[in-house]
Amino acid sequence: MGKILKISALQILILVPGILIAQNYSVSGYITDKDSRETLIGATVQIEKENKAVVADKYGYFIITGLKSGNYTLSISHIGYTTKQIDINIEKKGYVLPETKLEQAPFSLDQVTIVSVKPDMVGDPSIETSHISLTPQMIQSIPTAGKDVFAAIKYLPGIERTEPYSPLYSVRGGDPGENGVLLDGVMIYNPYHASINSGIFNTQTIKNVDLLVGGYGAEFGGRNSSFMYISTKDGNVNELHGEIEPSSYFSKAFLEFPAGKNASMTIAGRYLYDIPYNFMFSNENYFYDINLSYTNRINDRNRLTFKYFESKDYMGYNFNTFFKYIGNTFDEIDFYDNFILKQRINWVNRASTIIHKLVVSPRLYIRTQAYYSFHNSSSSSSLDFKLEFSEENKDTIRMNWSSSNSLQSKIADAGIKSSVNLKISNFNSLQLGVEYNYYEFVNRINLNEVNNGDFHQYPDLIAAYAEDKFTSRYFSIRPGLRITNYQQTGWQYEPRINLNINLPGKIKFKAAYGNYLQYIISMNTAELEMNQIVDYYYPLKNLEPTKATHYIIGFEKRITNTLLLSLDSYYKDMPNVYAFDMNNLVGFSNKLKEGTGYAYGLELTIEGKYRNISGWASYTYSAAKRQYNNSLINNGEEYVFEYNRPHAIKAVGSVQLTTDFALNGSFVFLSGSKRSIETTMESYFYYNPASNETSYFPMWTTDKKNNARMPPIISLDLGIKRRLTSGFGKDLANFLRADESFVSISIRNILFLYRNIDMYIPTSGIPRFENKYLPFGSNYYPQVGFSYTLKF
Amino acid sequence: MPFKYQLTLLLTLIFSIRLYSQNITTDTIFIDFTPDSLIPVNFCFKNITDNRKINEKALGYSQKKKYILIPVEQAICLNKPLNKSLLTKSGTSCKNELNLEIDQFHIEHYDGFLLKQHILIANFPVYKCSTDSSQFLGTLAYNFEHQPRNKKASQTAVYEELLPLWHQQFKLDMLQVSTFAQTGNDKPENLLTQEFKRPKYFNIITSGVISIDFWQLDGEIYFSRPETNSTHWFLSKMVRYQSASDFELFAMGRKAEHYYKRFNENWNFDINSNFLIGFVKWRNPDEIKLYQLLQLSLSSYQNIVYEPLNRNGLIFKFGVFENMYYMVEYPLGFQLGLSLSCGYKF
Repeated sequence: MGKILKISALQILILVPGILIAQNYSVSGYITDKDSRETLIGATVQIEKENKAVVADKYGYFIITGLKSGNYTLSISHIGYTTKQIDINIEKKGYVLPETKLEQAPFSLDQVTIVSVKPDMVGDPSIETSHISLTPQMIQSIPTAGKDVFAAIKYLPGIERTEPYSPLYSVRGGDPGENGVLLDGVMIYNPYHASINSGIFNTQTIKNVDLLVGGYGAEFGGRNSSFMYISTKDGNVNELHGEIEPSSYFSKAFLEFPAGKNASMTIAGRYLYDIPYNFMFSNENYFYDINLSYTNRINDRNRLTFKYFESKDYMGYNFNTFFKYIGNTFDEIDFYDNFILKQRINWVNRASTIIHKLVVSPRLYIRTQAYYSFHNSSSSSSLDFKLEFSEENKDTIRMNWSSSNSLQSKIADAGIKSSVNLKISNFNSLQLGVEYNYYEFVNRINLNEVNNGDFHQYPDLIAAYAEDKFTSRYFSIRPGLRITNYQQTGWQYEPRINLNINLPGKIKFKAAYGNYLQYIISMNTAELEMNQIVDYYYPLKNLEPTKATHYIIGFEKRITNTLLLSLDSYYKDMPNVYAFDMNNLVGFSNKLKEGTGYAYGLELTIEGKYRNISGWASYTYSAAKRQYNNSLINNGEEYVFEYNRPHAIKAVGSVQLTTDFALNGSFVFLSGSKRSIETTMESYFYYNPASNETSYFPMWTTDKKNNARMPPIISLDLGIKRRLTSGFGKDLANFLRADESFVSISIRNILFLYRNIDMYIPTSGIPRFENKYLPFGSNYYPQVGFSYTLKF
Repeated sequence: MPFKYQLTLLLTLIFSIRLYSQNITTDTIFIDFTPDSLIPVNFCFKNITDNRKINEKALGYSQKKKYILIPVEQAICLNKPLNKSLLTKSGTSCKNELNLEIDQFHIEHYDGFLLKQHILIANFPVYKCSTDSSQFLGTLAYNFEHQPRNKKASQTAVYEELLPLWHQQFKLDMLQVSTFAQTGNDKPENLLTQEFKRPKYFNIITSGVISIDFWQLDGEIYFSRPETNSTHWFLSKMVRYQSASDFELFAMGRKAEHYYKRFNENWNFDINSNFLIGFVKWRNPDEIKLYQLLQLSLSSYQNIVYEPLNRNGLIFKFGVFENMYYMVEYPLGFQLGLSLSCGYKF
């Protein structure tokens, strides 16, 4: 506590001279939606006379400095809103504009531009390279994304899927556990629904998503690869509005409404019931997620927000019935007759936060937040099968396989953080912040009834940061420093710097350097699991943190007002990384293998809008390597990282054909990733104390890790969004007094004749498939999805 | 290589869509509406006001599918504004003038399994005007059904056939309305004097069926217009749960087709024919194959219905139920049962 006080005292010492220095005239204020009074992130405020323009930050707040006293006309605009012009007379320093409410332009689908021209404000995109913003419209325009943030981001350059059935993602050659996901500033652990392989965030509640994929500033720490910052809506302060989307698989609803004077609430929820599969196969699958938000605009300077989020997944798969049907259908194979596979997954996430935003003066802004985030995932699966093959002139082969495992990962993260933004002068702004986290970790692993690891740990982390941005007409530079103290083991330093130079011909040169440390790591179980769908978080103890250093240079060229071409190149040094060897006996820390890695790549992107087409297209070249000395992983030799795909072409586009009709499409070409193809079968016998039997356990092995590259993945998906003007859907909208009703149709995997192979399974030992590798894939057929949305 | 052919076909389709995108998203049919002049006009319109929030020349929008999948809005337009098309001539020496409003006027295509027809749907609130007042007489409502003589006729030809036929009826009705306005007698049947909260009723019905070897629950929802004819057809959405001796069934259907015949103000006869696709949960899965998880069923209800004419409130039905179902490699099944239904018309 004493340390925190010292840091606060240091802040004040820095701030006071800053305030004294600030002597320019300025104008500041909040921009909100007229109906909902939702803050408008990224709204543009312009003074044409002075050739000055700024965008509202992630709190809808803006400030223009460097003005003289006098009369000005402010032009305030935002996509989808009618531009407002306000005449002001600045006579005293620090002119505070009353809340500016922009009115929504009459709705038409053609305003849905899936790439916003103006960047949104988490971090500082004006200086940061590798900063991507996604709006809900962009997410919804990707047919295959299923309105899911995590599916959508895989269409961005530098972000790659890991395993075919996993929601995890890898950013620029980093481990999936090096990606942080912040919901309104709260770290969410494993933000995925197990049952639908997607994220737990309902896009109806999302205001904006910012992705920082490298070279991010000192405000962000604790994750070495990327941050996803999701801002949710605060709610409509004037009247009830909402959106309902029912379907046979899962339904979702969102409501926003006033809750007293100058206060608003939102309630949103999704529930998955999966009637056909639960009904036919006696499964017990469901999930739900709920979002609650309450915001009180106490006055023009003070805002208090409370947010609560909860999600739960329960998957109870009874595969026996399903396998019985398969066995009966394919008579020749009696493989499934004695195949008993059970799987139970129980995941819970809870997060709550209270945020206070205070505008002390037009130049000084303080944000304080307390939060609690909880995650518990427990899963168990067991497999028993007995198999007999008997063919003429061949011996009968009998096989008996029995295995079971259970995993638990529980995390509780209580934190408090505060940041101060100070506009010292027209060309200098300072940001300071402190953060304290107290964690609880519980991890358990049982393999075949044997306890293979069990621990409780209660680490804490103190972090403080400072960033100072200097801006001139020709360049801007932002040095920063983040300092951290984990489990009171001493201070560690993470310097960062971002540079932006304006070159002739509307070209911007951007560069970034950053040093990053991560103490809470995810145990990468790629060595054991074929498909890791969850991060098993593990707090390092008496071990060096994972480290990464980002070197990034990039260029941006604005081709037209709405088209932007960018080129980013990066080199990421990872002098300390860990892999998790679950087969290693006794204790968690003994299972961690220390290694090194590096990644480099090039990303070329064109994004924006041309006539009635909007979207983006990108090409990425990337390489990533890992090496674990003194381990059995590839015998200690360097190998290509599992999730590296050297070439990736991705494109997302939306064509607005009429005001009521939009056609969307997404295309992906990914060169194949590396995979360990097993070449030898080894047999294990072990005693199962639960059944009192000795079981035979065949295992395929290879002496060379990632010895094969899979074929490329090619996929094309199309979608249609149409506003209903007649029929049952329109009648229902009229009956419920909804303003609009939409139908979305997605056609996934149009190129289904090209088989996307996910894995090859060796089949030696089975007489019918002697010495063959069976290709397994998903998406063998086109899939048509349908959704109906009521908006009121 | 089949993939190459697929890619070529797809690219051709995409470029075709791009080139002909306007055709894909909207179609406009222009109807040459020549008002009927055989019936003498001796009623007086003071004014016809179009309250519809669409183009004044439009007769509405319908939906069709192009390239099998892509839903396309089709606008049906007249060559001149609708109110001017209706107001052809007016009589002279009128004592009372009529004000007519157009709340609804569009043509729907009814596409059932048993019947295909076009229905002109219109609502005209009628007011009697004197020098200093205006009196609401009622809403002249139409569900004007028409089956084209030539089933292969183009849509334009069908509309051009339908409109004059309707217009004849409209003028006859207006003559009757004019008389009713002057004398207070001889009210046309389709002049509905009650106020309607909404242009359509929302109906929700639950039906229970019981038999010797199965029982089931059906749920139905549909929208219905105020009735103006003694018989009419409509389509509903249906879900079914059935518990039979060998299996349980969860089925759905988009078009359960109803034929309604009204006996009097309260009682009707309803024949409901439906085709459902369902998922089967077998009680004993030992011999069942994957493709036997799907069931197709064709079923029908014949019900006596208590449903007061053009009023919100409870609906009751009772009658018989028959069903024929099909599953691959399974004997064709027949089921008979007694049904009892209860619902509400909002």
